[in-house]
Amino acid sequence: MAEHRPQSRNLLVIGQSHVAAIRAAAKVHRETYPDEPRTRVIHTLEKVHAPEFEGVVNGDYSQARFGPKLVAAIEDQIQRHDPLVASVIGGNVHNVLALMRHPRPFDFLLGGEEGPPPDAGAEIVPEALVRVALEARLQPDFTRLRLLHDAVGPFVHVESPPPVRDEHFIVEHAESWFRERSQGQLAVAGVGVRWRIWRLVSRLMREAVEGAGGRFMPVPGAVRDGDGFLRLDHAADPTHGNAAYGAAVIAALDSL
Amino acid sequence: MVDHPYKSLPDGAYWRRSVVPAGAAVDPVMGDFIRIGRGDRIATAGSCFAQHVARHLAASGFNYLVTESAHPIVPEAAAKAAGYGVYSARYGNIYTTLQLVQLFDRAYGRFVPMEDVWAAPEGTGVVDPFRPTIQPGGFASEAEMRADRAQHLARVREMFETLDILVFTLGLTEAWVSTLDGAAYPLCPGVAGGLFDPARHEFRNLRVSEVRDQIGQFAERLRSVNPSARIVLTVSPVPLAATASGNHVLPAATYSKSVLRAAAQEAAEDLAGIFYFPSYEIITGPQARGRFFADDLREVTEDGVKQVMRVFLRHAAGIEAPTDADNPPTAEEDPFTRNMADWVETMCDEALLDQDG
Repeated sequence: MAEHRPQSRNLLVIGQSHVAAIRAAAKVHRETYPDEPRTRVIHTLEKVHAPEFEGVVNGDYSQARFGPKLVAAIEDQIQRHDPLVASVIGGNVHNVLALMRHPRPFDFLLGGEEGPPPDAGAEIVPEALVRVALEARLQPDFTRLRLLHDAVGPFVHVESPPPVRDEHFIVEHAESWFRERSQGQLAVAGVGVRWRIWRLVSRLMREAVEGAGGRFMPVPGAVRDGDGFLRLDHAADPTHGNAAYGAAVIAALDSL
Repeated sequence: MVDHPYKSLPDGAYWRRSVVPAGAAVDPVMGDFIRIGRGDRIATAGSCFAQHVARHLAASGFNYLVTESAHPIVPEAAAKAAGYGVYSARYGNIYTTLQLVQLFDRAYGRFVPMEDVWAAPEGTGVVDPFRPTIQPGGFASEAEMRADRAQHLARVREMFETLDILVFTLGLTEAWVSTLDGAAYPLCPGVAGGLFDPARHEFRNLRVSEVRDQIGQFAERLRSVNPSARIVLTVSPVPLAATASGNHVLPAATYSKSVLRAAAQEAAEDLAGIFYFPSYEIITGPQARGRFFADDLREVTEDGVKQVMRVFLRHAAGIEAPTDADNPPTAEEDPFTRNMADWVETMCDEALLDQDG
């Protein structure tokens, strides 16, 4: 068993669904090492903080601001615990576009990174257009990053979990949802497009994080298999890490 | 009284009777013209003016054929900026008949140009010399450009093989071609990618006989894969933006349009299933008194486009209603992506169920 390295400081991790893995790991740590600094989380979509945003008009986030309860919650955590603030904001837009095989299968060539070969039979969409498609859906996340910096100053953003390579794992989790909708045509998108779209979102988020005054932290190596995919024993579902994943992220943040 | 051929012609044969009273509303179509049904698959190609034809056909409820659409994940505005849906396939502007013949030959592997990739203008990425402005900012890599072009030419083949009618707008006689193999580029190398090299690139100003021959060559090629295809020719009323002929741009433009007009007329008279539609005359004739040109004296106003389409649809489809292409329906979100967003949101919401942290 690996030697325990005590957590050296308080952490505050802010985000949406990827907060769950951190929360689960933080709970285990708190129960096991109650006297050590702790990791606390804020899920910005929880009712207690609602509304997440004010000032969003017809999908235009340019004048958005965090809701007062959310701001108060963040400020309270910072005042009371003086934590390192980390973000796990966003991290699922790529799954909307490319987790399951589109009826018009697509892939793209990612400049500077080869990854798995292009998916056979898939239409190649220019990278610039995939980027535009992602950016359109990432506007709320870009706004969150900007507003987080306004609220806390410098922060660390944790890259979203890599995709899971195992198609059976994904299909098992997708089946109940898509059983009626897919009419028996459920298929996981090719491993290549799933890999590349995660990489492209990581690039876009890095640009946004650094533009907002944050620091981008790649996902810890400990959670990745030999090919860079999310280890199955660190996956909660096709799109999220589990408590083991959360613990690895906490350890990586604590070591910065 | 002595009888002669001018005694009993229809009113449209006389300037005083048909052009003067009608003015800008003149309907200059007379005689045999193509008939288009709602089910006919209509493809468009050509110079900038053809984009207006495409837009109005689609808005008028006709079966405007598009074989190369953007992938549904691409937002509508980005798709349009990347040339999807502007014409029936993503070939961009086809200014000359030489380009049109070569497009066919490239699509069917009969012509493989030797110079087929250019550096993008800003130095990063590449462009397709035969569609240099089709991908804003250029393609990220040569591999990406080649993959896109292969897909594009497959869609071009599909277009040629499935259209019922092709509306082609002749735009220019001036062209820049490769000295290596005669490949015709839509833009002079160096303007939107590539490097101009006088040893590899030469100017051509097509003559009437060349344009007429190329129309015939294209028609023969098209009918080799689609025997019943019909063609409507129009001449773009948009004057040249610039000329490399050494002449002043005004007579250069008149030359170009005259050549195209004469060649189109000869082709329509000589070849079955080819029709000429006088959009050029509607816009530029003296009866319009220039009212259909914008302030730059080049672009055609929307009123002009509407007048052209009004006359076209009246004769081609027996429709009198004016077209309204100003408010095309906006694309709905791709249903698959909508479903995926719901599922991912559900998975994300499930994280809210465990708040005991």
